[in-house]
Parts: sequence; C-alpha cells; structure tokens
Amino acid sequence: MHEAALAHQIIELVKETIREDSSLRERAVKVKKINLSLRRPYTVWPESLEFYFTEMVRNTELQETKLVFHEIESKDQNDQNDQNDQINELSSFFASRESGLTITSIEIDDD
Amino acid sequence: MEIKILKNVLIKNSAIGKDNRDLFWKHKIFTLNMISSPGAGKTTLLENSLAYFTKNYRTAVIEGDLYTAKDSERLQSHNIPIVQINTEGGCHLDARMISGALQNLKLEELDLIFIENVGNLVCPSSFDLGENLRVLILSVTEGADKPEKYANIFAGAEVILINKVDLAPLCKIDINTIISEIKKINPKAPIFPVTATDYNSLNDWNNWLDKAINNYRNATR
Repeated sequence: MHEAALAHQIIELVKETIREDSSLRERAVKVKKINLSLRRPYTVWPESLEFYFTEMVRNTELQETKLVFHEIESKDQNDQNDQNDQINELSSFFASRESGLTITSIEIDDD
Repeated sequence: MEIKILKNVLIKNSAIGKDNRDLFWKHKIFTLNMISSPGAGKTTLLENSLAYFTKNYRTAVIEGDLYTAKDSERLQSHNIPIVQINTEGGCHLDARMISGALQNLKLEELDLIFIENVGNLVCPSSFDLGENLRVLILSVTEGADKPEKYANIFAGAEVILINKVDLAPLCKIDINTIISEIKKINPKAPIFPVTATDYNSLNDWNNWLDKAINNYRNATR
C-alpha cells in the first residue's frame, strides 16, 4: 500500500522539476520516461508502484509516461566475510529513513 | 532529451520530517515514533507509560489509526492533548500528517509527544516523521522469526521492546532467542523485555527513556 504514497511522491517530484525549469514549463513538454534506480533492500514492489502510478496519472499530462526501473547491483549476499558489513549497511540505510528508490532522470519528447 | 534529477523518492517526506524535527528542537519537545504490528501492545504500553511520564512531563499523543478513534478513547483518562490521525486505509503515518497534527497542539506547552503509528511492520520503516526516537515493539506471541522476516524495520529501530514476556512460556518461546535474533539484525539498539499490562515491568524502560529525554532537553539548552 505504501507504493501509492511513493507513486504520489514521484509525480510531485517530476511536476516540480518541470515547474522549476522555465524552458520546460513554457514548452509544455511531454515526459516519455521516468528512470528510477532501485537498490536492495527495495522497500518497494516495482509492479505495484507501476500500478498505482498508472492509476494516479490517468487523464493527466503524465498519462503516457512510463516508469523504467534500473537495479543497482549490491554486494554478494552469500559472502560470509561481509556479513557484518551487510548488517551495518542495512542498519545505516534504515536509520537514514530513505527509500531504496531514486529518480535518476526523466526523458522528455523533444518535439 | 534526458534531464537528470537524482533525488530519492522520499526527499519531500524527509524535508518535512526535518522541519518537524527542527520544530521539536525549538520547543525542546522529545518525540517518539512507536511502531509495531497490530496487537503487539502499543496502546497498552502507552497507557502505562503515560501514567509514569505525565507526572514529570507535559505530554501529548498523536494517534495514528486506519479508521477509528478507539485507541484515543482508551487514553482519554490521562487528560492530555490527543490528536487523532485517520489514514483512511493508509498503511503508515508520514511527515506531512504529523506536521498537520502539530497545528492542533500548543507546542509551547509540551515537553513530550508520543506518536502511535499505524499497526504495520513494513511500511512505516521508510517514513521519517521527524521523531527523536524510533521505538519498535515486538510481542512474543508474534514469534522469534520476526526480526529476520521484517529486517527493515528492526534494522532502523533505535530501541526495541519485547512485550508480553509473561506469555513466553505459554508460547514456548525463549526470550533470549528473540534477543539474539534481534541482535543479528540490529546489534546497537537497546532491548527491553516488558509486560505492558504490568506497570512494574516497565521500570527499566521508563528509566532509560527518562534519561534519553533529559539528555535531549539538556542538549537543547
């Protein structure tokens, strides 16, 4: 269910990016793709996020926009020597209270 | 044409969370975000914790619930400000909801705020509310496998209470096994085994939290 909240955040960030760039704002650009990097632990199910996003942008200027996920490789989870590092990494990641999901870029129609 | 953004999806929530945290600091208010699965004992713990903390601190509660005000009603006998947030099915509280709830509290008249999050061991882990302390409550009836199964939320907790320890023998669960399972995921967080219905079992937790509040308040001077 929190994918709905994340989809909403993505829409807000993309609209804000366009709003704050006068050249984009004036051209009424069409956003073709939103590129998202995804690193483990995901804290999100991509298909669910895509579902909520599609529903939320229906009949808006983003209705033809696609979400594209790019997974970032993480360390080998089976490496026992790195187990403590992995615990520390997990702890600091969740202590930072962020999502494993970052908007890396948007691709707009040049026409 | 590609336009770089490079922003974490939760950047807006984090920014509002920071504003909330700055506001708490300005007013010297210590704030706890209480997280657990439904039925783990958050409200019962809160009922008995309030009996202790309202003696020394001007306290308020922000109650998160999907649809009802049942938990708020249980706390009303303490005669403290309570703000109800109904998420209408939403699975977590976020920083914006807390910011809105703060509009209904007289911050200059408070020292301590308990936020009771929506019962859920998954979604609240990613959403910073601006709290000073993230408290996770695990009930022994949930089983010793939960730290590993819900590693996200255990890893991000700053203090962990194991509740309903009086039921451990009935559930055939060894508290030490739960503690060692938690420590595999989060070696740093202090752990307090408690029975929320037994006021005396909360002494260590109350004393620890008391010190944490005082350390914070000293730092804000």
